[in-house]
Amino acid sequence: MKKAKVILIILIMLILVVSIVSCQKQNSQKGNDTRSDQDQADVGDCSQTESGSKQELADESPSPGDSMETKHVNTQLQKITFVLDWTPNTNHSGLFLAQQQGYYAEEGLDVDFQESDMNFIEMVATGSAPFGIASQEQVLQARSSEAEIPIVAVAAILQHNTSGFASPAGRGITTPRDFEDKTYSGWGTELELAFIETLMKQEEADFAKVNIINQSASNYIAAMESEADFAWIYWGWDGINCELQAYPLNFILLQDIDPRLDFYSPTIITNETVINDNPELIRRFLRATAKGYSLAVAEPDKAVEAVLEMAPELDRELVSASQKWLSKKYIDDASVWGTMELEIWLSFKNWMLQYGVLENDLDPAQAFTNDYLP
Amino acid sequence: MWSRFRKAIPALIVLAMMLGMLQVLSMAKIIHSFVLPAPAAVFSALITQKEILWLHCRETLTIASLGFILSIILGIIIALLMDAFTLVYRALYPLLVVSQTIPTMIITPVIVLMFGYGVVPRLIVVLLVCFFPVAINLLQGFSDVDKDQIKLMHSLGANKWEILRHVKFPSSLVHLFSGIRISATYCVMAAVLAEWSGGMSGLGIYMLRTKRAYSFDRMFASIILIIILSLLLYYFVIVVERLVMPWQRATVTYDLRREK
Repeated sequence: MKKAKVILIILIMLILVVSIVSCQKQNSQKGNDTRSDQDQADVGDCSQTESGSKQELADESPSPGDSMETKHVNTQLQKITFVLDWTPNTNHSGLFLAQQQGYYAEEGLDVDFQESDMNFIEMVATGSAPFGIASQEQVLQARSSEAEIPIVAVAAILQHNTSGFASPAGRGITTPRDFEDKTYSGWGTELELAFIETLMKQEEADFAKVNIINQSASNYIAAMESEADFAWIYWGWDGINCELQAYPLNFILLQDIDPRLDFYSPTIITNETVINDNPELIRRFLRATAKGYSLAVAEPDKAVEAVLEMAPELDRELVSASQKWLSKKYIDDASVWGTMELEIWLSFKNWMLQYGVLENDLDPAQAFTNDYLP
Repeated sequence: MWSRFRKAIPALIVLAMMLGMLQVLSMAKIIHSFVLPAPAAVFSALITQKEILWLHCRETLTIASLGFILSIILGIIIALLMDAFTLVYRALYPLLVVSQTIPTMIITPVIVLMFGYGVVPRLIVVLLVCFFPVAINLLQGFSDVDKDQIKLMHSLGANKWEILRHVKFPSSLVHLFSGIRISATYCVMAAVLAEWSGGMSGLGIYMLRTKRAYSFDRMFASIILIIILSLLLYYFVIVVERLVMPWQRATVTYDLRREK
């Protein structure tokens, strides 16, 4: 039948057109902008840069396929993938600065950032990426789970927790006691509920009187505008945004009520295989990253540019206000960037066990290390 | 052309009225911009962000259209195999149905975990979503073929292949295309879904980033682009359909614009 042939021809032509377009696009990209973090749009038949992202992390010698990325003078750069825990934001400034300023290149590294908030811990655990970001509670939960996910925190991005419970100023929620008979809009994790319960216990309020709804897909201001009264937010991003929007909030910082909740929120993680097989890689990576964060502390404006270069669609006003606030928090009262204390790991772990947000007990000293910090 | 446009007028008026109402409500601050941005703001975001949007758009369109084409091919192959061999039918049919019951949001991170970031996992996600309507509709088409025609072919000494070529496939084209049309509407959204579980570019990534930076005008701009892309693909399929089966024009137009 002729018609069948016509369909076949049209299909083949379509495939050709699409692959030609994407090949051209890739070539033009290689020409203008060799930044490896850009689109991974390699259509199978016109290149095999795929291997770059899956490269064995234990392999010290750079693979020849990567020598095409030649922005930095050094052609022997080792390409590694770094998985972000969320959309690029000011928590990541030091990482982006280290890439932009060539600190990673000085260490012989070319870092390929990938944003992924559904499987970032697994990516690091399986070794698809040697480094990533996770918060202290995620590291502890991963390690204590039945799957015994072997991730280890090697540096704290922020020295103190910056999260807490926010509510529109008009609701009059100024202490955890006011949570009673109010509606909480949450992400659906046990951890948040444990936070609320802990805070309320401190003030002898009744946790059972809090009405809880899950709004994980929605945004929290919209939630507070419609049916909820308070939400768990990160001040450095969400709180700053409300300030910019002139949306007045009451904010209760977790550690102000209970010091046990002053945990390390974003930390840089790796897995045990990298620690055993390639400790030098961690040292090189952290040396450059620490330089990046030090620069972010000293020059917030440069950090803003680095974040916006990575994600130009972000709102500049929000990024710079957030950066201004957060730049003081990277090192804060610590002696150097990234260092962590056993005491905080221990007391937070004990708190998690007490509230049943940890499956099994574990030794927190195994979950983190300062050994690779510069 | 004019008559077609005239039929679209009521829909356009309703749309314009809804947009106008929204605009007024947001200008009067009855609807906050962080709940639903004003249409004018969304439109201006489309303009000011057009370069960045275009970069992401190209990415998503490449994956969506490539995945779409692959899923048509895969769908046709699967339907042919299932039609030809009863054993294959019995082996695959339940699995096909099960494959559609797995929530895509849950399975995409696993696929990314297995194949790393890049094109392959994204294509697989689009394939998983889009091949099914093609395969199932074509199968339906095969089983709806006029039995007498097949009997006639048999009596004329035709073999399986000839029956397929001259009777089954041509008469199933209508079914095939209705499957393809469903796939066309799914594929852009499937590509966006795949982007949500990892990567650095694509409209899905743009949407996530702008949502999290509270730039809802930009987020809605990307949603509008996704709608436009899906519609374009859908109409592209219809154009191809008319070229391939001119005799079907009447039935095709029937569901698009109901003639009085």
